[in-house]
Formats: sequence, structure tokens, C-alpha cells
Amino acid sequence: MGFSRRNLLKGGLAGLGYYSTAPFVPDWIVRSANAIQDLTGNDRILVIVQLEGGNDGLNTVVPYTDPLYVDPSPTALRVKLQLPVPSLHAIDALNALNPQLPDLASWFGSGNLAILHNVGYPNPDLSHFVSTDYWQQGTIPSGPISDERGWLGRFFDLTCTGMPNVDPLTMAGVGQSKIPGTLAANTYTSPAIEDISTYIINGGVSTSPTLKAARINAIHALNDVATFDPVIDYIQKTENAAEASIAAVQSISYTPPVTYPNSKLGRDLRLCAQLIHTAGVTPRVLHVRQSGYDTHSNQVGSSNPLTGDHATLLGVLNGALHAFMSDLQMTGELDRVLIMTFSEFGRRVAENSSFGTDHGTASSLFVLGGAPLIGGVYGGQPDLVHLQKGNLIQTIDFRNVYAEIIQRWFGGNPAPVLGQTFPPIGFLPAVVQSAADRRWMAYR
Amino acid sequence: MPNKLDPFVPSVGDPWDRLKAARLMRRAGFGMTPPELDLLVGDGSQAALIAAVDALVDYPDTDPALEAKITAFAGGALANPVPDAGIFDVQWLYRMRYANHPLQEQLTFFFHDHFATEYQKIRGLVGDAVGDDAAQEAKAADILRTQIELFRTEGIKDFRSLLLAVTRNPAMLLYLDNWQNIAGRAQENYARELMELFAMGVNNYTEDDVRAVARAVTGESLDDAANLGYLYRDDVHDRTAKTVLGTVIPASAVGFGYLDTEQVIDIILSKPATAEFMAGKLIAWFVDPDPDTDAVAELAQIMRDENYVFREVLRALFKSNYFHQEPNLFAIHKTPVDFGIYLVRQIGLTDAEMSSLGHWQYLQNAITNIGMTLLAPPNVGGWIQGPAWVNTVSLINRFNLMGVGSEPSVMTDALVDSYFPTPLTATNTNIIDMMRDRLVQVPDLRPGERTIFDAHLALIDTQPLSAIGKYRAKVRALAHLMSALPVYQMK
Repeated sequence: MGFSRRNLLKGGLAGLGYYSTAPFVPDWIVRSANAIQDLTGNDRILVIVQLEGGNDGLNTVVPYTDPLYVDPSPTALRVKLQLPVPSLHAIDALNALNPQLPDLASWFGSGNLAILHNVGYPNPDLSHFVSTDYWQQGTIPSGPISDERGWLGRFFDLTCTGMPNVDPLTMAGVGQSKIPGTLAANTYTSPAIEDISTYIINGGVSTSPTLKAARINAIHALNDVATFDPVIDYIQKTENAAEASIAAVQSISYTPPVTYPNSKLGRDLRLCAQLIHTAGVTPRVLHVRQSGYDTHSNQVGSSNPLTGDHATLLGVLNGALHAFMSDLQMTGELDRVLIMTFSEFGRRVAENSSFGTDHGTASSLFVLGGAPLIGGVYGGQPDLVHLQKGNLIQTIDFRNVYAEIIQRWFGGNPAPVLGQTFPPIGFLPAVVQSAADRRWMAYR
Repeated sequence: MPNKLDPFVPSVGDPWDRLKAARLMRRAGFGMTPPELDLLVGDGSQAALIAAVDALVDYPDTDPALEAKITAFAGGALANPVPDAGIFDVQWLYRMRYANHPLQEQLTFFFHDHFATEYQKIRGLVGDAVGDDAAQEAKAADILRTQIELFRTEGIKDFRSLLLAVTRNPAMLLYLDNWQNIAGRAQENYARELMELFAMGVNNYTEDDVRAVARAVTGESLDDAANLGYLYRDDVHDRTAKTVLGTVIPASAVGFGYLDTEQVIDIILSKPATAEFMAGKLIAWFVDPDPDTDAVAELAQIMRDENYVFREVLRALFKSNYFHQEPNLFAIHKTPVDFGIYLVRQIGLTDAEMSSLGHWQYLQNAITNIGMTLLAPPNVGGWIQGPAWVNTVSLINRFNLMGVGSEPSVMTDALVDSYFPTPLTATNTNIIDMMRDRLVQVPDLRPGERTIFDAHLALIDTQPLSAIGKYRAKVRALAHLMSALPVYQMK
């Protein structure tokens, strides 16, 4: 990591200074929280679940019939970390889900889960931060473009710039006080929503109602003053995004028909469901995080491979995703929601000395959804024979996944977003052009 | 061509003045009030600047007066040993507020971000061998407290000693697992971050170097589960030769494995990339989030010339043209901790207004809602700085914290009346400028901002309040509104 990687928008925001004289007029001020404008002309939603730290694909979707995985010798790739076959949830002749993923196995059985194996990129970087940047930006160093916006932020910029009345919750980070890098755009500021009850600006506590209202208006007005400084402009746009999204967030009243687990991820996906079900709010991309996947140690318990940090994490993931999927299915919304997990990398195939695994490369990811999704396993089995410095070799470039989602889920054009065309993998059917799709095409 | 790190020589056109001093103290400390700044500025000469910077960097390891104040607060509520990490966080915030040597706390904060260590993981590793839950919490908090204390006393000394001490610090040994790193199936967690995050930066080492360093630091471990103190375990050290960054470390003799660790750190420090990486990090924290390449190279040279003694590096930086000639007074985003402590210091809240532990826990919770909890960085990379601090949740909670901070129960009548020599004669313009100087410290407000403040004060003038009541309402309203100025989010 260089010091500059911490700057979301390094260089581009190099301060002109508070008192510079070159004009920089805000071009994005939203005042209409009720306005609805589709991202691409359909009403579909993408929910991204970021598994932070690098998820071990091999112990998530286990190649339980691969002799190198089940090797009983003390010099096997995995000894302590080898999950016992009877505890697994077999989904076909080659793959079984982790013991903590029984509900995801059921969703696989009903065709609502696609598993993509060996997802990565050429010349993998084993730094959390560098690799996360690549995944979020949808770029790699040897690729056709270099751009610090997120891949969905860039998609938004290319698709929606200039459209009137963009919904202030079109893209949002949920359960976090940071804007996810994936959503970083030039022409849109994603709200970050953590806690509904405190997502409101107070005009003082003991002030009179008149002065309270005046204070709130003054706070907004201070952030509408034309500025010449891009750093100040960014702060003002973010205040504008807060102002525009507060009313919508405060109008949330949906109570889901299922009980979500009281985990951070469970609460955050519950909030996603609430946003999806709130009248006048049309989210298109929601982003949640589950952290803790950097399992160098105690990935499995020292005396029991069915315990440990990875089991806990996947148990939380299973419970939260199951509640969310069930909620969407019961309320008839599942067919317009697609859920994708991702992690910055997988882990080393061989275990280390501390019941864990060090940083690796390619990993498996999940795509969940309703009728449009074509469930199954893609990308071929992890090849435990041909490793590169002990790491798996990728067979699916993550940009293929993004291209398929942009093209076949949102009906958009992925080429300008990713700098080139990427052939589809096939977990979504080819788009049948609707009137709405053609409407989008006009913007291309 | 003049060097960027040459000492700044004030002139009539570019003086050492209150605005420059305010910038220095926002970044090297947590802010200062106008009367304090006037003392620093003195006669505005270069000698006054040099004296101010020397006083800033030449701090003692410990300040007995501050320690006594901490121990005495609220009947010992913040005294060591702390019962848990939450109290330790509050103690640290309190320390930042009252530090007589504010750079000591800002630099400690820098190193906490640089050597980011998460309490939660350590808490999970402190088990029954230590005692009951309360004993475990106290132990885990103490392990973290010891690490922070290391940054406080050693951070401004030489980086070699600090790197070695951090490598052998129980908090780090637990957090990045090196206590479990043994010959055979070496564990890369600490080795990688030592090079990537703590000393060199990416692209300055290879994956083979990571694996070699991981083997070299096998044996850096802990004594036992009850004490959790540092112990070198020579018997689990990988004795075979390693090649680290092109230098061969020969096979080590029995009993001398620990020398491998010291050699690794010496090899890392011998690389130009290391000085440049640390120079860049210091500049990004204190001067410019997008560091000037020449300035980085010059500061790196100073770092090598001074044998990595950060006191001298910072002394040069804080006296330099690069720091003081930059026209932008607000290039850096305030962290949530900066925001909270700056607010308390600029308003002038003391033990009279924040008299209980509860007051400080309220502040701590507000800083958490703004997006930062000490001892809980998001991951080993520390907090993402810069524009990432700006998001809807963060701004809403920043405004609301000052909303509470400007309430009469906190910002008392006596405090507000003390801001202006003759409150009853203060015009609205007087009050706006006074609060600008106290809170925002800009040469002037943007015209649009002044219009909004004028209108709000005119509205207060129409309220059924006494003359002094109007003055107080105006001061409090301006405190709240000024916290919502975009420039107030910067330092």
C-alpha cells in the first residue's frame, strides 16, 4: 500500500484551495426525494455482499471428491483444515457446501444459486488493499483502462449523467459509514446508511421550533454556496445527498415477514429489504459488507475443524442471506433482485502453522436470485494439481462477471465500463430487448 | 532552485501569523484558541516560528501534570489500570483534549493508524488462563494500552527501535498471529504487513521476500496464556538461510535466531523505498494528502541523514517552506477524532462543563457514529483517510455533535459570555467574526456564507429574548452552523 491508495480520489481532488478563483460550479444538486429515474430502463436491483479479508473458496465450496483435498496423509495440502466429508452439504458429484451453509445448499437445489469457481484476474496481487481496488474499480494493471471510480460508479456515469431527477437512493452503501469503492462515481454521491434512527439532522435540542427549522435550512444553504474548490464541492454534494435521502430513509415502515438473524449482516440485509419495499424509493444497487475473512489463524478450531472463525462467518452469511432471500420470495420481489458476493482474493491452498491460510488468489463466488438466474456451477473445478506458487489459477476473470451483470441484468453496455468486451459466462440468460431496454440504448 | 524542505523565512508579504499557526496546530495537534495562537505567533519572526516548532517536537516521554490530571478526573474513573478498552479510549480522548504537548498525542494517533491493531481480535485471544471475564477485559485493554504507550514514548525517537519493539509487542504478536509462526509451515501475516504497510509499501518487495521474512521471524512469540508477555522461542525458529530483498541471511546458530529479526529490519531500513514510504506517510498525515514527489524525496533524505529519528524529521517538516508556503490552509480532511477533540478545544470545554465520565462517553460515542473508534480500525491497513471521511452518515453525525455541544447545558452562559469582552455591545458582524476566528480560522468567510449567518442572526433578533439572551443564542447557533461549513471538515 502506498500512502496514496488511501485517497479515494487522489490527484483528481488535489486542492485548488478554499480561495482559488477558477469556477467549479456544482452540477448535481438533488432536491426531489420522490423523483424516480431508472438506472437503465428496467426495475432490477443488484445487492453486492463484500466478504472482506479474502474468503477461502476451497472451504466454502468444497471439492469433496478431489483426492488432493481429502488426502489423509500428514503432508497433505490441508490437514487441520480438511473439512470432514460427512459434515458437508453435497450439491453435485464434485462440490459440497461448507457445513455452515445448509440453506444455501437448499437455494442451490431450487435453482436460485449459481456458484462461480476460480474467479480472479491475471497476475494476482496478494495485498488486501491493492486487490480490493482492482475488484472495486473493475480494472487490472494490464487491462485496457485505469480509472479510480468503482465499476458501478462508472456504469452510472456513462448511463445516467444528465438524466433529470435521479433518485437519491439509486445506489447506496448499507450498514456502513463509508461509501463503497464499487459505487464511487463522478456524477452521483452514494448515501451511506447505518442506522435509520440517527439518520436525521437536528436543529438543536432546546431551540424553539422556528429557530430549529431555520438552523436546518441554514445548514443546507451553507452547502449550496457555489464553490471553486473540488474538495469543498465534494463535501457539499455529500451534504446534498444526505439532505435528499433523509426524508426517504425516515419514511421506511416495512416490517419483513421473516425474522432476520441479529447479526450485523442480518440487520444490514434487513435494511436493504426495507429500502426495496419503501414506497417512492427505487434503489438499484445496494452494497453491504461482512468483515473478518482474513483467516490467517483459527480459520478452524485447533481441536475441531467444524469450529473456528470461518465456520462462524459462513454461519452468519448463510443465515442472513437465507432470511433476505426468503423475504424477497415471500413478497414477490425475488425475480428482480440479484445478489452477488465477492472477496478480494481466495486463500493459499496449503494451510499454515496456525490453523489458517495465508493470502491466495482465485476464489469462488455466489450469485443468488429468482427466476432469471440460471443456477449451477460455472468455471470448472478448482485445479489442485496445477498451482502457481501454491495458489489456484483463475479460470473466470471477474470482469466477465461484471460484464454479464451489466449486460444481462441491467441491459446496459459493459464495453465502455470495462474498456473492452468480455464474453458472458451464462448464469443469466441473454437479454430479450424490451421497450425499456431500447430506451436505455438511446443513451449509449 | 530552493529546496522544499528549506526553512521557511517569514516576510511582510508572507508572515508567520495566526492563520499559519492555526494550520500548524490543527495538524500537529488538535487545534488551538485565538489567545493561545497569539502566544505562538509572538512577533511573527522566524525566531518565533522556530521556538514554536521546537516547543512542539521537544516533548518529554511523560508529562506528570497531565498524568495527575487524568488520575484525578471524576474520582479516578480514567485512572490506570483501566478496566476495559472503552475506558481506555475515553482516557486517550481526554488526554488529547488536555495534552500540554499535543504533537505527542497526534503522533501517537498517527502510529495507531500506521500500526493498526484491533482490540476485538486480541480480546478473543485472551482466555480463561487470565481469569474471569472482567480480568480478561482488563488484560486485553492493558495489552493495547502498552502498545499505545510505546507509540507515545518511542514514536518520535528512532524508527529502527520502534519497528523492532512493535515486532515484539504482544498486541502485534497477537493481532497478526506471529506468536504462532513456527518453522515448517510459516505464517505470513506479520511478514507481509511489515513490508507492505509498516515500512516499505507495495511494489518494493516480492512474494518470495514475504515468504523469506515469514521464515526469518519465526520464534517471535509469547510466553504463556496467562501472562501473554513477549518471549523469543528459539526452538521453533527456522534456522535455514534466507534471502531477503537480495541480501542473504545465513543459517542461524542455536540461541541466536532472534538476530534474524534484527537483520530483516536492518535490511528493510537500508532500502531507499523505506525512507520514501515513511516520508510520504508523514507528509500525507501532516501536510498534503497528495504529497509532492520532490518533498517526499527531500524528507526521505533527511530521514536517512538523521538515522530515522522522527523528532528531527518532524522538526524539519514543521519549519519548512513546504509546510508554510502552501496557500491551501485546509488540504487535509479531519478524522472523526480530530473533529471531536477540535470541537471541545475550540469551544473551550473543560472539566467544569464536561465533569463526568458520562460526558466523555457521549463524545466517544459521537465520534464512533461519525465513523471512527480508537482501537477498532477497520483492518490492518488502518483507517481510509481523505475524502472517504466524507459521507452522509459522517456529516449528519458531525452536525448533530455540535448541535449538542452548543446546547446551554454544555456551552454554558459563563463560557459564552467569556468569548467577547463586552457581550452587550457586540454587533452581529462582531459575533460572526469572533466565532469565525475561534472555530473556523479562515481569513474570511465566503460571501454566501456570511449572508446566511447574517440572516440567521437577524431572525434571532426578532425573538422575544433579552439582550444577553440574544447574544448567547447567536453564539450557540453560530457554533452549530459553523460546524456545518464544508471547510470545517478540513484541517
